[in-house]
Amino acid sequence: MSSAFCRERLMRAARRGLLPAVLAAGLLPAAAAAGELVVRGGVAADETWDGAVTVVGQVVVRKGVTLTIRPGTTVRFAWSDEDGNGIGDGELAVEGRLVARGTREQPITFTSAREQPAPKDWTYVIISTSRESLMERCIFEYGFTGLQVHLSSATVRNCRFRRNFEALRFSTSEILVERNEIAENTYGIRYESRGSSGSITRNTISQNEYGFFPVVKNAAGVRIFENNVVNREYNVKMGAEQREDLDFSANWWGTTVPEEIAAGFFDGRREASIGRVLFEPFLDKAVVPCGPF
Amino acid sequence: MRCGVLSGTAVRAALFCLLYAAAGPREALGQAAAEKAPGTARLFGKITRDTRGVAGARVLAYASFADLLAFRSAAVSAPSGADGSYQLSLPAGTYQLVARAQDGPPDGPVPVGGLHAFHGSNPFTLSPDSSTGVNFSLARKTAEPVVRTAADPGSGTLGGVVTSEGAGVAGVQVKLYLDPESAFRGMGYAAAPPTDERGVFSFDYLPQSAYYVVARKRAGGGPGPLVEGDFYGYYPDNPVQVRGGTAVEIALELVTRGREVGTADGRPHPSETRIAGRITDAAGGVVRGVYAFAYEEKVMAHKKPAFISPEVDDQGRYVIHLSRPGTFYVGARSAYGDSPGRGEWYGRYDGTSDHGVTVAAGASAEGIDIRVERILP
Repeated sequence: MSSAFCRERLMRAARRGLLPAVLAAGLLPAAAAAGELVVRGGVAADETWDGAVTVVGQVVVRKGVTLTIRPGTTVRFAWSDEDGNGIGDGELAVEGRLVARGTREQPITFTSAREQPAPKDWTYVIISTSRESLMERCIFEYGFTGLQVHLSSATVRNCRFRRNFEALRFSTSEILVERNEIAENTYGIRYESRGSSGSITRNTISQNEYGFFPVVKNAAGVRIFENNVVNREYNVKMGAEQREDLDFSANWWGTTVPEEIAAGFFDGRREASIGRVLFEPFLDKAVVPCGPF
Repeated sequence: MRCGVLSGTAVRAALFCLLYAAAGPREALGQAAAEKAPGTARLFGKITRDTRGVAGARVLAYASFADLLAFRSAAVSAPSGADGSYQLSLPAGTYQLVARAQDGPPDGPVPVGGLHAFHGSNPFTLSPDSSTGVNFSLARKTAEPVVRTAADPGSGTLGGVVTSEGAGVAGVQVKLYLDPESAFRGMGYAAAPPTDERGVFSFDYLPQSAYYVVARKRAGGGPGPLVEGDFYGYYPDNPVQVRGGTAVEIALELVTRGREVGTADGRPHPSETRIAGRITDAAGGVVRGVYAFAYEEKVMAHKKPAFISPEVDDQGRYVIHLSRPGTFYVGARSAYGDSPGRGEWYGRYDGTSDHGVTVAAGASAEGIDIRVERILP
């Protein structure tokens, strides 16, 4: 079912005064209101979203299609959990291209539709086999993962990620992640670079349980530098199969004492079988300005 | 035990009850039915370990793989004789055949120290009134699996050692299969690099799932059915459950394939329920060396496929044989196992927005064409 069909149905129902009946029949989520766009199924032609949008289940932006989201738009993911895995089913899967450019005054928000939101209320925005997707001045909150990027090229700039289980995950991509704030998530950036290239720079990654989580098969390719990284458990947690050392030089770790910095890593210093975080030379003060906004 | 009803004559019933009373009702029923009922099939052969006959072992026949996993045998032989010889009569049909010599009930999990054999030519189709010789080479279960905690909560690892005569065996190909539908032939879900001189193998970054572990070493190298002299190993506790954040270690003893009579042909088992189409590039050209995959979940990345086609033919055509109907999410790649890599051919069926195809039992979903492109070329 196309999103256009849902929009038309909702607007027609509102005009006829039938909206309560439509809602009662379960055809639309209870959170939907007159004038709100409700989307489910596939986006099969170029489309622009603005205002209030509710995503129901998995919505796929199909190959060759560009979805543009205007500043100030709030995309809410309706709650359902059909497979009972504790993660909301709401998902925006972009196999075409996503252009979500908010402004300082009017960011774009991806969030839960629940009245009492919590992490994992929805699955994720996932960019997969996409070329040149752009997320700028967006807020991702209460997802399992705010944003995943796989097999794609994408830019993530001046965004806020908060209260997700994972903020950002990527693999096998050309990716630029700059001037974002990633805070209050369990995992900040989880990645398996697997041939990725690009850079992660000028981000504030703080108050997460773990800052970076390089899981496996990471090597040089994505440069990570000039970030402020101060988190609760570990600033970098290497995966059990991450054998290679990884370059994390030129970042600010909240202290200038090398032993204290090293204590913030779960790496080869603790488990001989996994790689080490190469953090020297490190910055002796926080990066200013460091995103977002 | 209603031996008289099953055996037909009082004398034979009495003899049968005397011979098999200690083995339990199912064993007796299988034997008794075979004694008299027309159209039954007969199995015979030897159960050996290191070429020597094993006394007291039993052959068990299961009507399905699910029955094997649930230890619901259709028929159980009497214990083998001093030279390892056995025989078993049972209704004609298709069976998974195993042999076991272990403490405790024969139709139950293999304890450490127990001997077992899952026949490499399974399943066997036994015709009415046929007589088929099937030999078994027993391997010992040397240890229980060891499960440790791993740092990555999102995936698990599976590794261990393959041995023969107490020593590690190098050059063994260990493969993982997602289900028994392929009869553990073909490429499987993942293949580890050949074992090192210690017999060690390892699979990293496995999605949480249950995996069937099968090992082979062909004396002559190359593909095809195993022949006499090749090594073969089937893990007795298959399938092995791998959970995220865990590292599972197993020990697998190999047997040397002896002369076995059966239905081994090395071919996958075709099914009438299938998905078929063509895989092409953006220009409609044939892409060689790609496979089609059917997944049970919408999210394909980092997931294991339920079914995999053989490589496309020279017209780009593929067929995925399914063992069950349902909705499957269809994609194509030039590799299997692990995640797609940079430069790899990759694509999904775009006829539906979620890439799903619903197939009824016995039906063929045709024209499920897939366009692939190179990832970040």
